[in-house]
Amino acid sequence: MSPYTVIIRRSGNPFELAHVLVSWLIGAGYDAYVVVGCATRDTCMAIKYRSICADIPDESEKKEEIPPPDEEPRYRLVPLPDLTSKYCRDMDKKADDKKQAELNKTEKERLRKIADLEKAPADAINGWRTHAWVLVLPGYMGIDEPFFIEPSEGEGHLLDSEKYQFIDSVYNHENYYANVQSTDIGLDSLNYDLSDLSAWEHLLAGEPHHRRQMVGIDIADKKTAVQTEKHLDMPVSWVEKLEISTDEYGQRYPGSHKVIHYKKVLLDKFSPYSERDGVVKRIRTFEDYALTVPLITYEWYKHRVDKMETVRIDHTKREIRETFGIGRRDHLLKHVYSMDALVGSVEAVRTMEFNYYARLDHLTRLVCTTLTFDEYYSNRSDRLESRLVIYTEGTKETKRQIKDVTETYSRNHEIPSKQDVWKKIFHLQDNTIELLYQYAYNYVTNNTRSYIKPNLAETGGKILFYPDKTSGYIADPNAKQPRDLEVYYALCENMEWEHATTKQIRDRETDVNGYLRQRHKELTEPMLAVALFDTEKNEAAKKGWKEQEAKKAEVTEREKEAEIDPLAPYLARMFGSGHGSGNPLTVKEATLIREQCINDFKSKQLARQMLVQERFEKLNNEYKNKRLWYLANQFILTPEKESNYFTMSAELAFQVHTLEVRLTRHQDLSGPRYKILLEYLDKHPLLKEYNRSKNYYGIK
Amino acid sequence: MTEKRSLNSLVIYPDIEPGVIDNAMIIRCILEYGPTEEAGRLFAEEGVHLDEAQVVRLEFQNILRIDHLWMLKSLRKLTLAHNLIEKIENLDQLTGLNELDLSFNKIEKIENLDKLVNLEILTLFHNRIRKLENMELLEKLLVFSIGDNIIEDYKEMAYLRRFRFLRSVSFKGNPCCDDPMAYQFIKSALTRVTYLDYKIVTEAEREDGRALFRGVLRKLDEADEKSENERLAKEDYEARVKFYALSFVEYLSGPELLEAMFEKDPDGSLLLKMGGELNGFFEQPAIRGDNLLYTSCSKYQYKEQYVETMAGLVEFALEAYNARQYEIKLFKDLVNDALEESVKKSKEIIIEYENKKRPLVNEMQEFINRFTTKQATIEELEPLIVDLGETFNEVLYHLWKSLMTIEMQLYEQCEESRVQFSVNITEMVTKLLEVSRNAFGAWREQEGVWSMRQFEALSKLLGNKLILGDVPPELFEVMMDRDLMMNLVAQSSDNHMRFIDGREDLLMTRANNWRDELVQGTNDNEVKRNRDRILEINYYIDNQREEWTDMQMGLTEIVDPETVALLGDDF
Repeated sequence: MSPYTVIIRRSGNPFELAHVLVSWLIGAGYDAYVVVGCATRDTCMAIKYRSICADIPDESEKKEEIPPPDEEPRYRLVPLPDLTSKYCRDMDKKADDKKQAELNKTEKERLRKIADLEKAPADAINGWRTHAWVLVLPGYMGIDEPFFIEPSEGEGHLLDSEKYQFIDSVYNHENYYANVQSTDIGLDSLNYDLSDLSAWEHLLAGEPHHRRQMVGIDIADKKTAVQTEKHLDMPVSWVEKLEISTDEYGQRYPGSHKVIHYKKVLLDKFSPYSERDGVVKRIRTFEDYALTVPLITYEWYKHRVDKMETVRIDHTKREIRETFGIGRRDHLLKHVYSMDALVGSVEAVRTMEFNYYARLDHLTRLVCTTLTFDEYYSNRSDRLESRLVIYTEGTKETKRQIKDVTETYSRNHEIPSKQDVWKKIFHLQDNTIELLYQYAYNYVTNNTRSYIKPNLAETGGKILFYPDKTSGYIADPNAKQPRDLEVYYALCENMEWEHATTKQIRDRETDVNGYLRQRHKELTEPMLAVALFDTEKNEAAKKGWKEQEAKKAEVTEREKEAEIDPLAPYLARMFGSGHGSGNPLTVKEATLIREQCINDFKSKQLARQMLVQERFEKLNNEYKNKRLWYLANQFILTPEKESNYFTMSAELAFQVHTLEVRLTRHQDLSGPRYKILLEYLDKHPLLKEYNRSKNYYGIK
Repeated sequence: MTEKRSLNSLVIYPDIEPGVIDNAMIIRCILEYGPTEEAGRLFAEEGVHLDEAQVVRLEFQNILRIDHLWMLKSLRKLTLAHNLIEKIENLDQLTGLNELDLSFNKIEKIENLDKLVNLEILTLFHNRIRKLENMELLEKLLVFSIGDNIIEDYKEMAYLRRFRFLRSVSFKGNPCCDDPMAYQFIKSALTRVTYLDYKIVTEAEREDGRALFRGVLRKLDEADEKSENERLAKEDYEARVKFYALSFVEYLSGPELLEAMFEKDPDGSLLLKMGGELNGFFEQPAIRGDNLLYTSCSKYQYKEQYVETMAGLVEFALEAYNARQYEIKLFKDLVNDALEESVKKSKEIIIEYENKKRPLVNEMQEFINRFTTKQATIEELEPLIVDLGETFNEVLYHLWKSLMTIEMQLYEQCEESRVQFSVNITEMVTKLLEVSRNAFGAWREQEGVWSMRQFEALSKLLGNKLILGDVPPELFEVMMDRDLMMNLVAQSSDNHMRFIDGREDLLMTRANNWRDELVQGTNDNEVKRNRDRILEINYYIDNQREEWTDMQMGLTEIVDPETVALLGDDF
């Protein structure tokens, strides 16, 4: 089957696939060959369920190691004296090592057993299975090492790959090379220099053009040239040009979908836009070989309107993690929630991360559980870092109530630490407020202040100050106790603050509920975004274009219809307007109209000629007069007047010349125009009767 | 006009007898304008702290003289509007003053404001001022009101050009305002002022004025530019000197010091007036042609040699300065990191302690509850309470011990580095001093050479009336007498040597002092830090113990004195 057919049919055996791939590679400038040889059963039959899937994202955390300082530090702390017994430590270490060694041993044994069980069953014809694959040799397109490509999967393999066993021959469009080396030692130790005759036997003598070394050969000399060229060339390819259209390329897989079964893993691939929810890749990992107990599902999406990019579903932890691209309206970047979470409820376990930079409130992270609601902020101008809310447990009738609110602020270095609040804790149920201030330099304790809120109902809304309802600790033993007034002001400020904060918390809950509803909608009714200039997929634009084109066609049609009829004004004069396509006129009417039309045309032409002639003569006279005047006076003129005259006469001459041209043009054109008019009138459908009779009578 | 008169003669509180400011008045005013309601009650209870008041308004008090304001040390805003003040005075102590309102008074002259360098807002509305003056030092002026005065010449306002931050000026109500040119002039002359009479000034308006007063403005601009350049140059020079002073080599780069030396030495400069050959030795002559002879015999002249020597020293000193800064940074980083680590550890321990304390407190509350609800008698509870108290004391002791251990470890760990640091710094300073000694030695040598040459050159000319004809008379006299001349040369040389010694001494003392201060300061700081921390720890422990005792007292307060006596022994 030719590569062209393979592409049309989208299937083929290894040889055919290798031909297609080699054709593409050579076309792209690589030095590629089809390899004929033997491979393992799994390779030949494209069995993947014994190999590990390479696409699973690496989730192990990367540890960043701090590079050691460049030079030996000049100052260092004196290490603390070590008072433990060295002997004891050694003994402990020995015991630990022993235990570890035993553990390692059992672990090793276990792994070995697993490997044994996973091994492929014995193959009776191992080493006899013929296969074809692709070899890419170095020297072109920046390739330094030869390597193989498996055409059935499109993945590169090193020369020492276990998939391939022997090489019989390699070939491409230029030559066929049979391998004369022993392949027992492994494919990676073969000599891949194809021009080495001791290693590769050529079918066609000589090398292809670009490999030949033409040093010392004189092509100009005919004899040597013939001698050099005296070998056989491969016939030119008879296959049609290989082509893959954009549409086909977009489809990727036959039927837009492909499933690969790896060891304990299923990999689905979809072409973009083929699925309603925009999924392009899905990896499902399983606990067992029979693929019954799912572990983790990874999904990758493209072109979604809600910017969702990946989803990770952990079936054991029952947790879903969605990540998003930048540009959502709520600036959500990551959303982690439990599979059991109530849809759109803030009381479920979930974590949301935001692109705080784009948000006005600089919200970075939201962590919700049934009884807590924690907000984290970054870079806020009021230095708020986090706000942690704890709720009382709600019952069926009553909603959960805010119990404690803890707000944390970062240090403001512009004011002293004793005025800079670090944490504000509002115990809403106990009616108390606790303020923790920032730590000062070299202090291990911080100022604190706690209030029992006065009952506003008793005092008529006024905040009164009772010294016994507040207490505080001042970390600096030498500092004065704060004044009552300051303490009172702080109380007033924070009572207001508490009010504002609770309102903000309620607002935030409403916001988050909105986001969650939006997410739910986006998940249940996925939408895909289509690029504005994508002519294939952008339905709205396509419709628009079609409409536009139709409109354009309509306009040209109309223009065609509305050709100018020189008879129209006369017809209108005689019959009123709208006699465009009426019945042919009678001979009498026709004669009248025709006469009128021709006469008018003639007189108009004449009038125009007269007008131009008249103007021409007038200007010409003027010009001549000027010239005469100049000739008479040219020796007594001031230079200024003279230059004035020249500019004026040049202008006049130009005008005269234009008129002259117009006149001749008019004279040249009026004859043919008249003829065209007559011809037109002769063929005019309305004058049919008249024309016939005119021809009949031979009237001139 | 009629309105203005009436305003002037209007006395709002005719019953207040015109007088001076006194303590009672200030306190009354502060209280009057202070907080109200509950806050006011607290404010009044506390008593007025004059030295902490930031805003004082003394309006409508019929004050005749400004006085007795010196105790308001932290005053930022002072309002003396609507009084009978005739003279600005006695404000020198209020250096922190930011806003001063003297409107509706009878002031005739702007004066005595030099000390108020932080003043940003100055209001002199409705006074009797004729001239803008004595405000040069109010560099931060931002808002200035001079409306309703008797300024007759609007050109006077050009005075305000010097205030670089001035943005708002109110001017209305002066006699010269009737002149239509006045506003045009002000708008174009005060280019930095954005608001005139609280109205924004547009660019077009400025342009109009500029066309009218081109000549005047150009003159003003030129003068401004000159003073601005001078100011910048001065600032630049001072900054450089300051920077060099950090490396102890101020005034040593460039020939200034040498020139200063000659200035201070009248004999030397007198001899220098001799000119001719002598000048050739002193500095590289401007026109080489005439003096080729001298330049060839001595390759470098005194001044150039000096500059070169000192440039070497300055360069070394700057390098040494950077090295020292780096050294200090290394040391500081280490100490700060260690401190941070220790603070972190201590905080953790305190949190741990709080966690341990919480159940104990709860238990104690439980006991108190039981007692107050008469579920148990004091006799039953007593052993339990004593036990609880012991547990608490143990926890507290443990806390104290851990905190103190951490602090002691920190102190000890840093000690060695501190010693090492002082050794290193001393070494660096010694090296710098060595280099400077060499440089100054070279200078002395050059001075010797100079002196010799000077003498030689002068002896050639001694008594030669013909050449000396056009020198100043004093010099002429000297040159007529050999002894006098020799004396003069020797004296000049001595003077120079003393000057050089002085400069060297200055450098050495400064460097040594700096080192001592740094090393001593580091030690002192560390000791102080250590003491502060220990004090804090003990204070905290005491506080905790007191809190606990208070809680127990809460129990005992309810019961009879007998129980107090019973429990009293234990606590």
